[in-house]
Amino acid sequence: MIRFTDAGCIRDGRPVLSGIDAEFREGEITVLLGRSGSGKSTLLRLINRLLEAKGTVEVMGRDVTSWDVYALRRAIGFVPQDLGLFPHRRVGEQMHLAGADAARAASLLQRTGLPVTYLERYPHQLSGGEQQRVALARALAAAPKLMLLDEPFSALDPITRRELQTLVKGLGTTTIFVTHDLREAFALGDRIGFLAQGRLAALGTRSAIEATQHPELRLFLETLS
Amino acid sequence: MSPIVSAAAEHLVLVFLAVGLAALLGLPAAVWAARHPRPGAYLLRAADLVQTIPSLALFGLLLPLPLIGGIGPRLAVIALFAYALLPILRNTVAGLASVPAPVKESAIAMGLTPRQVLREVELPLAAPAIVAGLRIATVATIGTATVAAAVGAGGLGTFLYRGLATLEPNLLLAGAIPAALMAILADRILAWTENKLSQY
Repeated sequence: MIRFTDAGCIRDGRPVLSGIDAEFREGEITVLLGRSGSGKSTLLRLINRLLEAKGTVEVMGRDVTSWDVYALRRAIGFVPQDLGLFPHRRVGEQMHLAGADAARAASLLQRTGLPVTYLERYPHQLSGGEQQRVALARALAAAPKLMLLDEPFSALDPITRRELQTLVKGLGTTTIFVTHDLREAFALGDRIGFLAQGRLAALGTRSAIEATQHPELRLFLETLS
Repeated sequence: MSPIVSAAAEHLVLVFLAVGLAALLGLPAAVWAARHPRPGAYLLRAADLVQTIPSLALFGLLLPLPLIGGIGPRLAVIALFAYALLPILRNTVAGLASVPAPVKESAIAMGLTPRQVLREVELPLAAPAIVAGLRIATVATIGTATVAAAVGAGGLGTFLYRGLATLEPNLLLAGAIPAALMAILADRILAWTENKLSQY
């Protein structure tokens, strides 16, 4: 589904990600863990070309640079940490812009646990949890084959967080999910990746990650568990 | 038609043409300047420079130029346009820069083209700042346009120059009061528009 081959990224003349070799499999949820600045968000943005990669990044068997960039982005649902909801557009208008007709927008809203009447609301009329649900629904608008979620639930209470995790788990879409929360990673991830200093230090199942000898990952596990 | 109404109409046409032209050219120029900050900074500096020239001097400097110069409203509109440009440019650039980065990023990530991002996200969010720039430009131009009478462009300034020459306060008031009312009215209408565009 997604393959990185010796991929990296240079920002402001400084390598922030390098030597990434990894495959993210179809239908799987891969959770990326790592300290702030380790390159997790950068890695996500190489997939939908919000940032340009050094090396090769392939999506659905094609190098991302050979895709029409707009078609590539429409095929990928993206929820950034700050959600990026448009403050001047009603929920329904945002969903329409993202590619959903009225019926699909209503059905996606219901799927994320919100009443259809919310299509008429502006983001500022929603609670934090409702905004997260709308961001998720909007990312699903164009029926993406792939979802990239960059710490989308970091500011939520544990109950809402659990509800949304269940929702993501039930999507059945190939997903890469960035979080700092180890419990969230274990609850969601079919596989877990760990980034340290711009490199993918580990990528495997929960048991492989727990058995790791990588010093920074060990420290991360011990601190958070 | 009374001479005051006719002069007010001339004044309004001068302001409308100058601000309209400044908006027509200033908005795309500001979008370009926002996309290309380095050369864009030179454009803003050039517009800044025009503002430093006293209005009467600018009229005088443009007067002998071919195509632009000569006595009449054409010269006035061009000089007033040059003055109206800066607030429109500066506010539009500032408005576009104030669009939150995550909002813009998610619009791009959604697969919108740069034109769609501009139309659907950036311009609507920058609209209050853009209208604020138009408001400053319009109110300032209503005032500056009184100087246009010096180059035979007509308008309410005609009464002011005559009043100054004859030391006749009624003539001064005949020019100053309608110009002030026009400025207040334009200010209120554009402030209301700015406020409406900020409500969502």
